[in-house]
Amino acid sequence: MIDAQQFLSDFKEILLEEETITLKSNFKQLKSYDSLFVLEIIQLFDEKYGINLDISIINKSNSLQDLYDKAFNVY
Amino acid sequence: MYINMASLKYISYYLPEINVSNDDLCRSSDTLTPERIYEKVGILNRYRVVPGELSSDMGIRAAEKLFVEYNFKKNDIDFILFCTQTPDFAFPTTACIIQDKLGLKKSCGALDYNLGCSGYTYGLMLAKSLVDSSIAKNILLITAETYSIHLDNSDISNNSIFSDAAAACIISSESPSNILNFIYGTDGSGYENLISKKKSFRENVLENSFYMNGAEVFKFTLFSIPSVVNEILDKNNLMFDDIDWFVFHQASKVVLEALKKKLKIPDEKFFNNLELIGNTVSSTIPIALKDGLNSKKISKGQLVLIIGFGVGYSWAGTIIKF
Repeated sequence: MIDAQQFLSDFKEILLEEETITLKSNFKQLKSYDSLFVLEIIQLFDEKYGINLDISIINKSNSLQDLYDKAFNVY
Repeated sequence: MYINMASLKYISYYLPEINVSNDDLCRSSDTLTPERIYEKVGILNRYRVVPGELSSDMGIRAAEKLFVEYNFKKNDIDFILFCTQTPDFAFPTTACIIQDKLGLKKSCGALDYNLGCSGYTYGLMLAKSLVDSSIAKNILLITAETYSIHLDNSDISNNSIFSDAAAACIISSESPSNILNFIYGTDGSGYENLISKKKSFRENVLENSFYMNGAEVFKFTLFSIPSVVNEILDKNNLMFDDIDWFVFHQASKVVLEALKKKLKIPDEKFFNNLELIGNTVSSTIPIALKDGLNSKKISKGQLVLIIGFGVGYSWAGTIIKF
């Protein structure tokens, strides 16, 4: 399993250049967040981690840490 | 008797008069910019029918264009396959209306079938079956869609992707056949993820009836279609490197880029004409083939893998040897 910092670094690759994010940030408040950005998150998980991400995980997550925990089953 | 003899011979297409730019789309949004729309969906322009113009009207124009362009005698057509999800009426079959309006002979068979983004490849498969089984010699396959009729103006996301258009093709008995073997499939469990509950396109229209769960449709595409591509290659005893062009349903930039990346298709073999036309649903593949042939990107003797996928969920693909 990749660590949270690596996930943060990977996630930054799909953001707009001027955007900043931390693990505590609410990714749904990003300027780039819209219905198509959700597709990019799905693609990121498939491409980088081989995970077929359940969309409900995105829907139920707010912070990036939340998304990481749910997607990688960190409890 | 069943002989492999069906060939895709001619393609023409029709785009309606109204252009919708990203600037046009942004007029009703405070947050979106034309640049942002382009960056997201990879489309600069899409087409819309004029009020009162329906799929049958566009299909007829595409067919008439084909007759002129190739000097094709319409009396030689003995079957019409019409693919649309926006028929003129619940019944009669729109293909019957087209037969009459095009002045085709009365011994001509005619049927509609309701498919979206897989509609062209399914139609090609049906046409090949009719020709190979000697039921018909010249099939007129028309794909035509006016998804704009389903869309609410406030739905910028879907309005930015979908475009109205029609394409017409002739599939004839000619040896050697240029249409190879098909792979097709269905997963109706995803039917609710792209749906319109509109009852009719002339009357009793229900507003705001279009719904697309883009994330679920994207997941279906990303996790199902790459293996279908490999099945098409296997079915035809061909290797990945044998294919000269991959012409996929032109869904949107994010979908095409994701598939290209996942399948490791080189840029120079991956056809994309989405930018100026948009997602014309069942017509994206014939329009792409025609543009590829016109621009001489696709040339004689080349192997082109085509695959349609989407609403249903439904998919079908094959290889054409030009």
